[in-house]
Amino acid sequence: MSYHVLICDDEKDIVNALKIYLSQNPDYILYEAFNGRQALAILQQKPIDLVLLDIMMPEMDGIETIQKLRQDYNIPVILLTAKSEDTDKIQGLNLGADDYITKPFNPMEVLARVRSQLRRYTQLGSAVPASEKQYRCGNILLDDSQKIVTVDGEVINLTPTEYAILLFLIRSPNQVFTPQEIYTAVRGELPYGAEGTIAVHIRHLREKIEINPAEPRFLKAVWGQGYKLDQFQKSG
Amino acid sequence: MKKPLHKNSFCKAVAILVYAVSVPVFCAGAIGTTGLLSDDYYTRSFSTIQKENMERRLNSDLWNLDGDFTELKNNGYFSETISEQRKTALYQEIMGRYDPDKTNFFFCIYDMDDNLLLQSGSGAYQASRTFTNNETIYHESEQIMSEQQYKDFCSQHQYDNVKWSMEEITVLRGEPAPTLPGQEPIPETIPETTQGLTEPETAPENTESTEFQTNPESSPESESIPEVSETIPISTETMALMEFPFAISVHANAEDLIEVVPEAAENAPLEITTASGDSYSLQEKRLLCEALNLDYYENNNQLWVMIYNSDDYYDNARQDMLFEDYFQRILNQHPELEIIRITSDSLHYIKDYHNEIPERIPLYRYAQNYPEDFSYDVSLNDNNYDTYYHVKISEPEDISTHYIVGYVKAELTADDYYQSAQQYTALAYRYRYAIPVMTVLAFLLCITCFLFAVASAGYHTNQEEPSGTIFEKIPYDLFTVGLFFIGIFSALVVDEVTGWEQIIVIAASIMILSFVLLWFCMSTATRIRTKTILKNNILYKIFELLRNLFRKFRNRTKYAPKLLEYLPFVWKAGICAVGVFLLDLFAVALIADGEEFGIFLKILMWMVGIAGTILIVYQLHLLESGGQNLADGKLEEKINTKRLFGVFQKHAENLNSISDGMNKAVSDRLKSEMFKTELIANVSHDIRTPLTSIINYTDLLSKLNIKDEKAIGYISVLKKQSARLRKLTEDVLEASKATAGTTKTQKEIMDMKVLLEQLIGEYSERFEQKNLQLVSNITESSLTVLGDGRLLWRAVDNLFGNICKYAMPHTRVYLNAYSENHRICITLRNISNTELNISSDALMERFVRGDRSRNTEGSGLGLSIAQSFINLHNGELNLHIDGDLFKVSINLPEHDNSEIHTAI
Repeated sequence: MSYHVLICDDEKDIVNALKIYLSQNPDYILYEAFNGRQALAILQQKPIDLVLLDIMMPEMDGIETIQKLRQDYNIPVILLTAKSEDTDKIQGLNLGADDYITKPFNPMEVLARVRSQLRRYTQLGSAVPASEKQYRCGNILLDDSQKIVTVDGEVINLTPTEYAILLFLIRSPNQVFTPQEIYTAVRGELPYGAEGTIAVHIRHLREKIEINPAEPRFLKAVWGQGYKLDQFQKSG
Repeated sequence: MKKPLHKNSFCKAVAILVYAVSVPVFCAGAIGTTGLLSDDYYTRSFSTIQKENMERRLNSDLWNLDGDFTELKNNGYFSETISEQRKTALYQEIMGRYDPDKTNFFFCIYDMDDNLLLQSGSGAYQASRTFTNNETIYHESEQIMSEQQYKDFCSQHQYDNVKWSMEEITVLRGEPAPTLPGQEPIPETIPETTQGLTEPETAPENTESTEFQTNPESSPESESIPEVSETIPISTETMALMEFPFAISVHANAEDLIEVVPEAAENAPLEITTASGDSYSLQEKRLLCEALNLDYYENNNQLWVMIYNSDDYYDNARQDMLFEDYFQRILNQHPELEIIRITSDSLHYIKDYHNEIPERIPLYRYAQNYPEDFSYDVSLNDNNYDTYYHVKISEPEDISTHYIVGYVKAELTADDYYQSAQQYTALAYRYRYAIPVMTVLAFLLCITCFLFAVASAGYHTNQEEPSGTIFEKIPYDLFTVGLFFIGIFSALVVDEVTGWEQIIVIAASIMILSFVLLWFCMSTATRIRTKTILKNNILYKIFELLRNLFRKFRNRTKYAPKLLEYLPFVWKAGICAVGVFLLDLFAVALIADGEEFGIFLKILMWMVGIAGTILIVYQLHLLESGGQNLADGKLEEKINTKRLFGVFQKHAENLNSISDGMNKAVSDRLKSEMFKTELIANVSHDIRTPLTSIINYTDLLSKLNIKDEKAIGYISVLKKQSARLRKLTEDVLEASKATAGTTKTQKEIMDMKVLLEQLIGEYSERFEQKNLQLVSNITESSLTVLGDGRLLWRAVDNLFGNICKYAMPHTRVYLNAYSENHRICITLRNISNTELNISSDALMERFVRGDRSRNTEGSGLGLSIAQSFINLHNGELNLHIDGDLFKVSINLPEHDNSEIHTAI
């Protein structure tokens, strides 16, 4: 199965670089555009499955493009942005982007995100938890009945503690738990100073389930308070 | 360099002192020299001068009598003046007896009752002077003492050296010296009457001679007047007792004296009988009355005498009776009709005192006052008695007797008037050559000192430039007038005192005057030197003021209607205050005058005053709140100037413009900061795009099948450095935002302990890789702060990152966190891997790293960013370097514990 991926950036070198990386996967059929207008034109002609969209572009920028794009398509859109401001990210996401990657990016991360989005879009898009013991958060699926955790469909190996932590967090997405609470819930006893170990477990867990552990999308630390599993809620 | 003398304060002081001494010396010398010259001390012999001086003195003393006699005459004592011949005779007599080395004298004129009419002579002076030693005695005897009194006084005061020799006094007849036909028959009777009337201590019997030898003539004297012909020569051995047979008219103011009592007259027919008992005929009575100058009228062939009453104290009937009784007896005794007409009250006195009507009525002094407390039992000894009664003697033929009693002092006493004069003369003569020389010297000295003092005026020892004293601050004209008045006053005082005190006062006055003159000249010189003589003048200042006012008015003629507005506020307030004061005075005056309008005005003033005060307070309140807004930084809130007026409005406008200016400055600054941050953000964005390509293509390069070892090495360098560049751009942006204050914080309650534990968890592996052992000591159960978790994490994360980068492997890292005094302290200590030869302050600067080589990872912004973020939370971040020991301490305000549980 092949995916049609549109890369849109005014910087030709970046487009080329992305093409080189993405072309490593033979399933991807790549298109390129250098501004929003071209991107929209290609979208009308080709059955595009995913768009990598730069925000700052001449003629029509990424924000405007995504607004127009969303009128006709529900394909995944990953924003490439040099702006690291939170407001830019939030704006982009609110306008219909599915993910964002800040420049300068790690090529491997881009590949992983593209893959994740395509999988979600094509295979898992409307998947609903099969049973009450199944929990989903983004591309993470935890099946408590089988004690299996999959990320983008791939099974992840977790230690019992890590699994317990993830289960505890995924049951109440978006809720912040202190290390003490997590420890108590996981171990069934008060930590007595051992809650520091939770942080290590969380980090290990993050390395396993996050694409970029340095910039976690789901398992987030709320500094000074605790941790939460952030189930990103798309607006609209 | 030696200072000129005139700039030396000490020299100036000496000059002033010498001047102060030499001026009186000069003045005294000048007076003395003048006297010496005028008296011709230089050509004549001393004895001549002395004799002349004494004679002159005596002469003037004697001739002063002239004035005194004239005064007596003017007062009505004498109907004629003392003749020149008489005076000359008297003078010659006294001078003949006068020995300047031995004698001293004074003389007085008494009337028959031993009452002083006149005093004169050196002795009088002496006596008066002695008396001043005892004020009470002096006042008791306003007149000169009698000789006996003087003796008593001397013995009382132990003036032993005062010796008096009273020599026999013979009668010196006046020009109309009576032949005294009745002198022989009467002497037995008259002394008795006079004795009763004279004061007891001056009783003539107790002296060996008859110093008060009353003239033997008395009543017959009246008869003797026509026979005035011969003169009794003055005995050379005796002191002159002079009699002035003048008719004495004692007068008083008519309104004080006489009141007509016609009723009394009607009931008092005058029956005058002769000594033989025969009645006078009507014609005789009439003649008698005319001779006596009695007012009379005839009725029914009888003569009625008008009786005048001088006061209302007596019932007329009694007076009439008395008068009649007395009159009768007089007439009985003296058929020759020697009648003195007297007023009735005199008769009372005479009768009450003597218990009988005296044979002869003496003359009485004229009275000046009528005492209010008239009383009968007043004694003759009372010195006031002579003021109680008054007598009108209209009889021109009446003759009274006066004595001139001369007391001659036997020897010249020490301290005597003439003696001292003589001594002065001797002294002056002895130094008659020295005095002018001294005077000239003193004059030269005082002139020199004066000039020197004026020349040195204004200079002081320690100052190069002349400067005035505090007196030079006084306006010049005021100063001049003040000194002028001091001078005038000191000159006027001289007249206020007499005698030897005057000499002291004159000396003091001369000193003051000379000093005032010097002062004035010195001050003037100082003012000229300091160039303030013109400007420091009241007149000049007034002139300046007027000129300025005129200028202002001229400049503002076009604003004439608004003139009041241009008046300075203080002036306005002052004018207002004066106006209120005057109005209040007016109101008070009205109230005092009983005008109700005054009260109304006062109430009105109070009402207006209260309203005005409230208004002013309200305005001040508006200004105050406006100022408070300004102070609080609420620059948008302007004061509403429409509700203010006058200076308040202006003040409010000023405040508003200040706020405008501040507003502009603040927004300008904000704008520039924003611009800066935006610039950095844009630059870092622009860097990122090419950086993306660099990283990507480096990555691609590394994945090519390159065999060359060198190329692989180069590519790895590229990779490493591009990663650094990437980190650097992020840090730069972060740091610029943090320092510009544009970093937005979302503060919430959080636990630093949790944060630290989270971080420790994050870093556990990296520490292990570096072989660092973290020793964490967090004692508190929670370290609650109100902060932005992301920023605080970033700060502590940087510190942890630094430890990973710079700590020496195989060492321990200590983390301590505790709460102290509502502050949370976090310290991180580690051993530096490289030598830290840099100060902690410098380390905190941006782009500074502990190692100088700069080739390690990191941007050098970590600490700076951490500090900025900590500062955003009102915290402090401090570095401490002790050798290789690197210590970071963070200090954050602790959040109130009570709110934690509800918040989390």
